[in-house]
Amino acid sequence: MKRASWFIAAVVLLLCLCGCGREIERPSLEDMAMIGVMGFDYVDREKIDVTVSVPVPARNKETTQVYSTHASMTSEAMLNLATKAERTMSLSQLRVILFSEEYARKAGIGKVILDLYRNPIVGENVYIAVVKGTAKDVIKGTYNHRPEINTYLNNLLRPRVETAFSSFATIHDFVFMMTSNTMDPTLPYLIHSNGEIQIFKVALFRVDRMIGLYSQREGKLVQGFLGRERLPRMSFEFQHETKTGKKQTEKIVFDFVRAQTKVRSKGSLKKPVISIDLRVRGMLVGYSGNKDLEKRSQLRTLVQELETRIKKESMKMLVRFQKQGVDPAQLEESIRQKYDGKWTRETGLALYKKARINVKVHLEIVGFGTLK
Amino acid sequence: MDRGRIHSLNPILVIGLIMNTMVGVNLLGLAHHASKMGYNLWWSPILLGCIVSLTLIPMMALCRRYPEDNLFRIHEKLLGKWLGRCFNILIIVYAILNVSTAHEGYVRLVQTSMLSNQTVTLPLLGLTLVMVYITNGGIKLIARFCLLTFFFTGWMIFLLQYGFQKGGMTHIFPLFHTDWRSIAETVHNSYASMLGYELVLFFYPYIQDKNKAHKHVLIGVWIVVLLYVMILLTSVSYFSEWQMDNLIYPILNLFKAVELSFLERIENLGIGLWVFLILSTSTGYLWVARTGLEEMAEKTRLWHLLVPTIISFLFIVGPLSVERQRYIYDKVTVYMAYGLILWPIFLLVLHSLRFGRGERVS
Repeated sequence: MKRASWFIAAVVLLLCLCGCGREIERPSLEDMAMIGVMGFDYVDREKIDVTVSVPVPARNKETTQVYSTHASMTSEAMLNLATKAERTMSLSQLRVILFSEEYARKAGIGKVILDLYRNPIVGENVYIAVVKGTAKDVIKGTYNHRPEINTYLNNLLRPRVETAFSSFATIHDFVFMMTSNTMDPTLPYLIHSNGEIQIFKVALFRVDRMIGLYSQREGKLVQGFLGRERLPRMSFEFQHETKTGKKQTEKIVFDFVRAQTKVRSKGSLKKPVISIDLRVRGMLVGYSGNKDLEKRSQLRTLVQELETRIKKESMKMLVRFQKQGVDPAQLEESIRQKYDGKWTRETGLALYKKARINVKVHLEIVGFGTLK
Repeated sequence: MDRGRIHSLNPILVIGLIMNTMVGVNLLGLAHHASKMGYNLWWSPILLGCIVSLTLIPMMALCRRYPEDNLFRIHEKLLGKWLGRCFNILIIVYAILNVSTAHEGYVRLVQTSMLSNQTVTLPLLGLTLVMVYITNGGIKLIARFCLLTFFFTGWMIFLLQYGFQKGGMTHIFPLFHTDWRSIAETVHNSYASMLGYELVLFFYPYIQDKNKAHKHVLIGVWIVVLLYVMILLTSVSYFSEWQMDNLIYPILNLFKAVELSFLERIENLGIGLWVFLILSTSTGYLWVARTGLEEMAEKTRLWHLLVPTIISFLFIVGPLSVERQRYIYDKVTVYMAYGLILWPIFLLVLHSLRFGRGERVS
C-alpha cells in the first residue's frame, strides 16, 4: 500500500513536469514543409542559387510551392529558406537533387553533396542528376498531364531497365564514385523542352567537376562493364549486299536478359593488359531481315555479326575514353587488385592510359519471338 | 532472483553473456576505427580474436585457482586487505567508466541521427532506469537479458546482404597489402570493440560447468569475431576507403542501404534496437561495480547499485565538457582495460610465489 501511494505520488509529480516543456515545440506533420526536390544553379564562385520545391498536400489538387535563395552552403540555404516558408522546412523527404550543367562544370558538386551526406536527416534514396540550362527552370516548369514535379522527377530518376544506361546515383553512390580512386563518376543528364523532361545523356565527372557527356548507347556498354546484369535494349543495323547486288539493311533490336562481365588485368605493371569478358544472353525483340532464324547456320552468322559489332563498338569507345584519360567503366579496379604499393588516382590513371584493352564478347540468343 | 552465490550460469548463458557484453557501442564505429588498414581491415577482427584468446589463458588460469572467488576477493586474498581494496576501487572506477562509455556513445548517436534538436537527458534517464532494473536482478537476469538481446538483434545480420549486393567484393584484393605500423594502430584503435570478455573474472564463480568454462568463453569470443568479420566485409564492399575513414558511424550508413518495400528509413529501427546491445553491455559492467562495492561493505544494499549508477549518469550530463569526456572514454578507459586484461599475469606470478604453482586455494 505504501509503495503504491509512493508510486502514484511520483506519477502525479511527473505529470506536473509537462509545465516545464519549452514554448517552441516540435511541429506536427501538417506544419512541416517536406522538401522533395532541390536545385542548385551557378551564381558565382562563392554563391549558389538554391531552389527547393515542396509538395502541398491537398484533397483535390496537388500543388507545389517553390522557394529559392542565394547561399554558399546547403545548410546556410536552409536557414534562409526557413524564414521564407510559412511552415517548418525539413529535408527528411528529399528525393531528387538537380545541378545545372554550369554549376557542375564551374564549381563542382562535391561541396553540396558532402554537406547533405553529413546530414543524418537526409535519407539514402536521393537521386542526383545534372540538367541542361538551369535547375530552377526545371523545377518551376509546368508539365501537362504529369504528376506534380516532386513525384514526376522522383519517378523519372528511379532505377528502371529502360534508363539503365545512366548510373542512378544516390548520394552514397556519388560519394563512393567520387572517392573510390578507381573511376570517374557519372550522373544522368536531363534536358527540359516542350513541357517534358528526358534523360538524354550521361554526364561524366572528374572527381566532382563535370567534364563531358557520352551517349545513351555508350552508357549501356559502360553499365555492362560496370557489372549491371539487366541492360536496356540496343538496336543494331547491318548493311548487306545480296547476290544480285542490291543493298539491304538488316535491323535488329536486342533485349538483354542477362549480362555478365569479368574484368581482369594481366601483365606487368609496366605494360598492363585489361581483358574484358562480356557474356550476354538475350532475345531478339525486333528483326527485319532475310535470315531464316530457325536455321542454325544463319542464326550463328547473326550471332557472330552481333558479337563483332558489340566488340567493335566497345573497343572504339574504350580507346576513346583511354585517350581522353577518363574511366567511367571502373577498369582501373582490375589493376588496383594486383597493385602493390600506395594506390592513388594518379597511378591508376597512368596505368590505365598505357594499358592494352582486350574485349571478348560471347553472345547467346535465347529466343526470337513467335515468328521465325 | 538468485542474488546469492549459486552456480547459476549454464553454458548457453555464459556464451550469451560474453557475446553481448562484447558487442556494444563500439561496433557502431568499428569500420571507422579500423580504417587505418584500408580495404584490408576486414581481417583485423581475426587478429583481435587471437589476442583475446591469448589474454584469456592467464585469466582462466587465475580463475581456476580460485573457483569460488571473483577478482575482488582474489585481490584481498593475494594482496592483503588494504592494497587489495585500493585495486578494487580502481576496478569499480573502470566499470563505471565503461557504463558511461556505452551510454554516452549511444546517446550521442541518437542525438545526431534521430533527436537532432533535443537534449539527451531524457533518453539517457530512460536508459539508466532500465539498466538499474535489470542489474538489480543479479548476474543470471543479466545473462538472460543478453540471450534476449541476441534474439532481438541477431536477425539484423540478414540486413547486411543489401549493402553487400550493392558493393563490390573485389575490393578485398590485394589481400595482405598493409604494414606493421597500421596493423598496430588498427589493433589499438579497435580493441575497445572486443572489451567485455574480461568480465569473466567476475562472474566465474557463478558458472555451473567450470571445467568447460574456458571453451564456452572462447566460443562466445569467436562468434563475435565472425560477426565483426561479416560486418567489415560488407563495409569493405559497400564503402570506399575515404568513406570508411570519414564516416563516424558506418553502421548507420549500412542501415541506410537497406531497401524494403514496406518500410523506409530502417536505420531508425536499427538504431532503436541497438539499445538492447548497449544495455547488455552496461548492465554487465554495472553489476561488476555493484559486486565490488558489496565485497567492500560485506553486505548487500540497494545503494551499492545506485551509487555507481548515479556517478555514471552524472558523468555524462554533469559539468564535464564533451571534449574531456571523449578523452576519458577513448583513452583512459581503454588503457585501464589493457591494464586489467594483463593484470592476471601479475596475479598468477604472485600466486605462485605465495602458494606454489597450480594449487587451488579455496
